[in-house]
Amino acid sequence: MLLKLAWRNIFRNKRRSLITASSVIFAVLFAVFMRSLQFGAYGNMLDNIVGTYIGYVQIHGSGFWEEKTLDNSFSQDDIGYLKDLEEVTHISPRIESFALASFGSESKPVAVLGLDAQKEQQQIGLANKVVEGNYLNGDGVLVAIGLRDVLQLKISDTLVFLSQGYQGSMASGAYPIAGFIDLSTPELNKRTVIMNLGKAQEFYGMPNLVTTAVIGVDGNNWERDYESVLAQTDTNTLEVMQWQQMLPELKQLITVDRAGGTFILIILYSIIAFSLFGTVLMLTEERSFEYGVLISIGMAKTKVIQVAVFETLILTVVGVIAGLIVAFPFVLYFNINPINLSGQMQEVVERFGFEALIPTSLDPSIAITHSGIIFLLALVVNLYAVFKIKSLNPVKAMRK
Amino acid sequence: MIVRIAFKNIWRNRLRSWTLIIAIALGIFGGLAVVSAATGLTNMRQRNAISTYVSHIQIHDSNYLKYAGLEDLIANENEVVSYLEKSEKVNGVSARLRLESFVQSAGGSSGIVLNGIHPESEKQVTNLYTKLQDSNYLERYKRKSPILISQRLADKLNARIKTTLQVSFTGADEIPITGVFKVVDIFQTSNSLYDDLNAFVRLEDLQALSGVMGSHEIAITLHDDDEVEGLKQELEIKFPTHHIASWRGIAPELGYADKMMGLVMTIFLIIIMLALAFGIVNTMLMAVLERKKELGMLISVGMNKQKVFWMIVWESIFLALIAGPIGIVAAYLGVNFFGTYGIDLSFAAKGLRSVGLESTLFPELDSNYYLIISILVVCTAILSCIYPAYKALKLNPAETIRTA
Repeated sequence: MLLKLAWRNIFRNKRRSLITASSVIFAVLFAVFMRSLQFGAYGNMLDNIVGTYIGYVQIHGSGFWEEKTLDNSFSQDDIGYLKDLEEVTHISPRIESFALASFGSESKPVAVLGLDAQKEQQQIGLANKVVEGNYLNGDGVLVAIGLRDVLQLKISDTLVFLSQGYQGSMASGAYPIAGFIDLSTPELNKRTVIMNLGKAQEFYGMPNLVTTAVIGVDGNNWERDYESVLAQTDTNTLEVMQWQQMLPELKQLITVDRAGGTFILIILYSIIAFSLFGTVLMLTEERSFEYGVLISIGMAKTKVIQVAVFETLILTVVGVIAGLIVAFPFVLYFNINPINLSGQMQEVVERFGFEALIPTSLDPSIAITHSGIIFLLALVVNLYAVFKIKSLNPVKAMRK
Repeated sequence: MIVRIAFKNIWRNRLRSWTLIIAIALGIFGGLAVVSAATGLTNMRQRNAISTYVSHIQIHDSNYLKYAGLEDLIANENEVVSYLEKSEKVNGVSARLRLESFVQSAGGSSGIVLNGIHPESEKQVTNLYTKLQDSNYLERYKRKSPILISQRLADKLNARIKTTLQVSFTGADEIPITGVFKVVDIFQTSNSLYDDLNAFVRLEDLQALSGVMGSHEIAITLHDDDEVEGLKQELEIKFPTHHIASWRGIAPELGYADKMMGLVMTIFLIIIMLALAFGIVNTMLMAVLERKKELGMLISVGMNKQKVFWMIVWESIFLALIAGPIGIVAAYLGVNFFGTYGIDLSFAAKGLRSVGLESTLFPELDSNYYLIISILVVCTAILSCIYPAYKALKLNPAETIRTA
């Protein structure tokens, strides 16, 4: 009965209901859109930095991350069991070390990466980054374009490398250049040389040993997958690390940015709360005559309140759902066509290692959380109407 | 007349007016807070960059920037330096020899750039000497060549103060050279990328070891930031064969970071303003609906419809004018408070250092922004009352008086 009354009240004054519902619709739209934008930016950053080269989960010889020497490397056979794990999509074994690269009279310290050509194609799409020449083959190495410019190198020039090898041995060798690659960050481009894993093992004198293995897992469930890899691994000889441990800086930056985002969100929510309140305030004001009549013809105040609460509930639910429906195309559009920080700004963003794109996040939990918050906010704000009716003096209300 | 009625109308329903006033004031406050935090971040990054590693102006040989070769030394170095030292605009001049080298300790190795500096003149240009752990700068040591390394490099090399490091590079005439330096102190700037790559030794030690007599880089700081471009042009005319760059040219990302932050902030500001606008539209629409009867009455007793429209617009103007100062004062107090005491972000110190920031943020606000944001918000408020006011125009007076 009361529900029916509430239902009819809503349709009695369509314009009023529309205004009330629209205040909720816009609140949901703005909150969800803003949050999707913020989270999308982190998501993109994670995929760019973590998802590609570093990977979400890595395994090293125990102590390697603390002290990055070749002596803390491990045998590839030690992690053979991971191939049987369901969560692991692939494993990229690597050697990561340094050497002094010389060409003619010039020499530069470089980072030497010994990579598995096929597997890195899967992990980082390495072959697509080759801008000149060929992909890794036999002896041939890939040289980053920044280093190419500094040393003025050409394809099939020979680079001489000098370094300290496994267990203090002397490492030296000459390798022809197979191709040049663009690693997109200037810092990496200036000092990176990539060779076949086998060649790197030969160069550093460490057959079948690697320093790092990137464990391919599902980026959306990396936490769960990390746990299961960790559970299967002998942590006395190996260390399993997830990206937050390897890139604490990135984690912290995200935290700071998130704090900033939360601050902006609080301001947005305050403004939303006040506009919702403004609407409810004027709504109650407008209807106080009607409430006065209902009470004076004998309707119990609690029932009047119940009707008002039902109305609010219906309008808020409709508003939240409609808000989500309205927000979805916006979020989807900016997910497919991310905001592009093109031109000069792109350089900066890439310098810090991520793409100059801000897509929105399509994570449904954002929509659920924020429409939930606004639903609660709308209910709290509507308490005003309840108090107003409770303390309503019907005679005064009707005299107006 | 209409203006006075509008003003009085506001105070008839105080709760409604204050709700709107607070919402508008919050819009102003929020906008200013966001802008001030962004400005604080950008200025901090810029100041840090200039005082720790970029300086105001840098001079190189035109080939150096391209190839960073050993032989790309600055020609007529003495002439350039003495010209600069005579200039009244210049605060400090520091010449550096920069060698790409490979550093090794018992605990590890890394590729770095070895900077040979005059300790005294470097003090005038960068604040490296203030970033040291034990305040042991380079000048005092006689026997072994001293070296300053960063905390991050020290961690990588497992080095401490008094650790001996072995440094190898290609010296003059392409001779491979290995030298030994002793760590006398460890520094940490607010830019971890810079820390990873740079170490400092005395210029005379490095020149003696490498056989390279000269410098690759002259860094200059000025007394006044505004004179940078002027001096740059002056130097370009005086020394046309050298490559002369101001900090804007050396680290263009400082300027761009500004723009990028600005763009992101603008997006958020737009969202906040839109939310504010819709809040005002809804509340004012409801207010018009509630006062239907009253407005209908005014029209039927002969008040011009246009005047009703303007009455509602003026009500919003007054609300915005009251809200403006409240928001501005709140923002001013907030910015001043945190501008003095700072916002502590030390929980993320490492992450901030990786992008060249310190862990205490001091919000700053150019006085222009008070005006810009206030005008923006007040305009939003006034624009968003036009639709409700227009709705009031469309009221049918006969009908509104009849119904409740």
